[in-house]
Amino acid sequence: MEELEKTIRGCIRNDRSSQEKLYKQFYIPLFCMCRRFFQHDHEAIESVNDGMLKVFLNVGTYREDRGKFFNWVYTIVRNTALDKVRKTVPIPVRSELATLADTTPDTDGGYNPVLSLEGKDVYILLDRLSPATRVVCTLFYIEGYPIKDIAEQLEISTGTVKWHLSESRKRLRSVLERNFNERL
Amino acid sequence: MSEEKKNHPIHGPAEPPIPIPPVEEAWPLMQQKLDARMPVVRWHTTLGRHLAGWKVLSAITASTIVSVSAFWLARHMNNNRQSKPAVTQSTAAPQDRLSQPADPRYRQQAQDKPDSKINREAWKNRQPGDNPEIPNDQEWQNKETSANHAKKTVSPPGSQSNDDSESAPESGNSIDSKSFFISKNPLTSKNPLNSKNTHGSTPPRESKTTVDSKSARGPMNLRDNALHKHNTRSAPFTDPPSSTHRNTRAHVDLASSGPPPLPDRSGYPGAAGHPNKPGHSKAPAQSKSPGDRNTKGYLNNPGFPDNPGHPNTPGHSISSGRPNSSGHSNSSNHSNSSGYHNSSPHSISSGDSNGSGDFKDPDHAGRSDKSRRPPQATVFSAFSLQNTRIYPIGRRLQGADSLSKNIDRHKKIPRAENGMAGNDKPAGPSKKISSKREHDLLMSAGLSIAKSFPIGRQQFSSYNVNAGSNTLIDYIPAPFFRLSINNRIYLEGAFQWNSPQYTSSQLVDSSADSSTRANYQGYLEIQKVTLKKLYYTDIPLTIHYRAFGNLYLGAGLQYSRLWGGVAQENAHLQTSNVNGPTFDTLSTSGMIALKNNPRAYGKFRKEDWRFLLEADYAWRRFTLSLRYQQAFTPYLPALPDGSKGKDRNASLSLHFGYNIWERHGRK
Repeated sequence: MEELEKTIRGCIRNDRSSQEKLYKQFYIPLFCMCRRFFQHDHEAIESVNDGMLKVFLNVGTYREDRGKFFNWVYTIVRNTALDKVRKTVPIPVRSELATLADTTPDTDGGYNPVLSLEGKDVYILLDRLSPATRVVCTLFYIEGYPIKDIAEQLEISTGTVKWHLSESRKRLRSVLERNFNERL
Repeated sequence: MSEEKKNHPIHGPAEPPIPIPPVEEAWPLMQQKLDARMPVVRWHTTLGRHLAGWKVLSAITASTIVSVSAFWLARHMNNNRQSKPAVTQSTAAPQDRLSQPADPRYRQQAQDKPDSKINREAWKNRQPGDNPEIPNDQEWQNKETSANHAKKTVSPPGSQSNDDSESAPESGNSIDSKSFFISKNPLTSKNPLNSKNTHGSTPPRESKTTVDSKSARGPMNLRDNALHKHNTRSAPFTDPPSSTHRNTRAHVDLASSGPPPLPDRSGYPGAAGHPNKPGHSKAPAQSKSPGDRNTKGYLNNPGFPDNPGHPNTPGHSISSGRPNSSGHSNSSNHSNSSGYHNSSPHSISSGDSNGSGDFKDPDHAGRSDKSRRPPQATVFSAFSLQNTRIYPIGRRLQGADSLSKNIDRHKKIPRAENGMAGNDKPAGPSKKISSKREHDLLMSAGLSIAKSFPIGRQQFSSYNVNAGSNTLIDYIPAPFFRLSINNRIYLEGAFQWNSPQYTSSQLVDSSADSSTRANYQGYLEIQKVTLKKLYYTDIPLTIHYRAFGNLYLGAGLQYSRLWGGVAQENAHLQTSNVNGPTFDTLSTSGMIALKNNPRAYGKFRKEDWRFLLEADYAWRRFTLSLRYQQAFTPYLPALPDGSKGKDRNASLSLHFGYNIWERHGRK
């Protein structure tokens, strides 16, 4: 922790070496997080970089009472990625289908199919989804966001969120049944 | 979500579940973002950013000019204060002022003064029979040779154009109370070649002299021939009032003067003649007159060439009250054709010209004319008394060096004090030195370092020519060579091998192609090259003029040749399917040396001509220059969209130079 504090102080002084050290320390988890939102690596890298730029710009405002430093960084980078998703990924409005998916998330008893998968399988499954459904699925099943927060974050309706969640299960069902012989 | 998620198999496992691009590829992109938003603070970066504004530069320039001007004014005022006592002292000492007239301007003014009272009156008193012609040099020499003993050696009036007697009427001597200008003695100037004239045959002439109440003793009547024939010691016209004035005495051929009585003859204590020199009259008592006092003071000036006792000084009696009072009473067998034409109106040429006279100047007897005549002898033919000052108006005498020194000593007398207009500043020793230096060439060479500042839309760039971060190469000293024509103008040439030129973020090249990257085969890759900085080799040639003090203003031309540059190369990936989800994202971005992209580098104009405007402040061997340069042509003839480029190179730079080598040369 002392080393992390020293690095943070270096980042406050706009020291390039400290910034590089912090960036490389958090690069992999942040990239993995962003990669789940985006289909391509360069998008994920760009999101990481944009988020880390915000971190470096505001590292002087960080206080320990707000939480751990990585969580603070992680939140910033995720929100940055979501902003990018909202700007770049068109999310189709499926309000008319929302009623069909009303029962899907909540009626499954909180079953999370992603948790049973290995890490790389998650990404393989997510690559089979459309970008918007991928984002909603990631937020709901991986990040643990409630539907309401997802709707607010992506500026869409809760019905649309539900429809995307239903769509993700429908797409993943066949894959999981064929590969893992599991029931969603 | 917590920090423990870093090791979560989904959120961030120790082993990445998917291939992750190496962080070494991601960090440069991050670094570019940081450089753009959070540049590393360096002193020159900060300074350059702050100095980029025109307001700051204008303020610095204005403050520099104001401070330099204030410094110069303060220095100038100090000089003025120091020069005042010299003027006062010079006014109080009349004999010092005598050194003024050596300046030819004074002489010329006295000669050319058309409204001179002396000249007018002298012209009015001119006798009808007066011969205005002036014998030339050869005639004088002949006469002097035949006379075989000359009492004085004077320059013939015709030999020098500055002879005052030429411009003055010959009919008489006139004395102005203010302007004591004595024209040439008509007795000596007239008929000097008539060697056979005897005293009796010479028509009597009367020297009409106009004198004022102070200096004149009435019209001077010349003595008759008989009187002078045997009374060589009783010359009424005296030498300067000094018994030691041996060689300055003048001789009067009184035989040609006619027989006028000498009413004031007895009034001259020295009328009996020089006690030590036969035939010389003693110094009269006209020293009591104001003019005589001045004259005496003038004569007592040891530095003045007409000082009594000066061995080379021709005979002058500078008694203002006795304009014709010089001379010796010659024997009767002296003809007036002795040829001793004394161009000085004070000195009356002696009549002992036939060589058989009973008077022989022991100093001059037996000498040839040439030997007796000083090589560059000059006779002060007139003196101008203005405001109780005496200004000798005449030619340079031998031994004028001392006179020049005197003149230099009194350089600070303003001309307006003398009643003479003119804008010329009095010359002094220091001025002489500086004027001497003005004719010297000064060659110098040294080194200078320059710091350029972005102006206008130009942006500061901290990258070097190789797109690296070390910008020390931008400050390589440049050799220069200066040639100072005088202390006001100098030429300067320099060779600056590496001259950074800031530019605006100008798009130089843009090209789109199908992506060749793995996993991005269906994407369109757009490559853009944006100019950041150019590097030239400069050869400026400027001419500088000293505006005031140590501040120089310069202008010139500069030849610049492009040899490098820095640009930012960005690669964008764009989906080629317009119907599907589109995105345009930056894939790579980095600074490159412009030469590494021949396509972009080939679009620049390689040669550039610029004009320069420069303000320099020189102190000893150091020079601080503020230079503005502007190119005549755009550096990018054509833009990527096909339009014509308009941006021209311009820069504002600060140069600091030091003269390592200096050498004086002659023009």
